[in-house]
Amino acid sequence: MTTMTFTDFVPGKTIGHDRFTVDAPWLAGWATAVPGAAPAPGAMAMALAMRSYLSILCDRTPGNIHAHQTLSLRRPVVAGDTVVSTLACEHVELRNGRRRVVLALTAADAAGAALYQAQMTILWAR
Amino acid sequence: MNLPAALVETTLQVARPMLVAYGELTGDSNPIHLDPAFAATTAYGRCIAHGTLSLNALWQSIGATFDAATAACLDLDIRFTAPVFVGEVLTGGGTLLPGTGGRYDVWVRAGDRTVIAGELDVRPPPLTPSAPDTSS
Repeated sequence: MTTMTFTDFVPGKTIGHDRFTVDAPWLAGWATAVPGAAPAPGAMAMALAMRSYLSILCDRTPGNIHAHQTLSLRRPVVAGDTVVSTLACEHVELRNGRRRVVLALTAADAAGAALYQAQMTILWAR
Repeated sequence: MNLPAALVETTLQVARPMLVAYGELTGDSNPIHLDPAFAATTAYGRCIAHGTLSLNALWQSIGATFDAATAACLDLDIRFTAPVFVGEVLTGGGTLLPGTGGRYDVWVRAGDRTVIAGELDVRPPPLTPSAPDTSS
C-alpha cells in the first residue's frame, strides 16, 4: 500500500469502508481510557469514528494535525452493534502552505439505519 | 424542551495510561501520543493527548447536564485549538447562546488555556411511537 499524500485525495470520491462490531473487549478498554465514566453516546461515536478513519486510511503521512471535527448523533451505539462506516473525501484546499483535507464519515448499523455522521478536517503533512 | 443556561462543568485529568488505552480503542498508534522519546523530538517536546480523548471532558459535561435521550441526539462542531499534555486537568463546559433554541458555546480548558472550542446543538429527541391504549 502506498502512503496517502495530499494530492491523492479527490473531492467527492469514496476512500473506503469499514465494518466493526462493538464487543465486550473493546468496551472494556473504556475503563482505562476514560476512568470513572461509562462512555456517553457521543464519546463512543467519536472514538468509533476515529477508529474507522484510522482503519480505512491506515497508511497516512506522519505529522498530520487534526484541526476540526463535527459529529451528528442519530442513535446511540450499543454493545453488539455492527457499525458500517464509509469514508469519503469532501474537500481539499491548499492555502498559505497548509494542506487541508476535509473527510466525511457516515456510520450505519447492520440494517442500514443511521448511527452518526462525522466530518474531520486534517492538516495533511505532505 | 427546558434547557439549562450552562452545562455542568466536569473535570478529567489526563494520564499516560489513558493515552495508551485510547490509542488501542481507536487504533491510533501515532508516536506523538505514545512515545516520549519521539515526542521529545517534536515541537511539543513531550507526548500530547489525542484531541478526541481530551474531548471526553466535554462529553462528561454533556452527560452530567442532559438526560440520556437528549445526550444521544445532538450535533457538535469543535476545533482543537491547543495541545493537551499528560498530567493536565481538563474542564469541560459551555453556555447557552441566547435566542438560538438550543445551541451552546462549548469548550474544554486546561487551566486558563482553551484547548477545544466550538458549538453544541441540542435537538429534541425523536418521538417514539406510543404504546397502544389498552385501557378501554
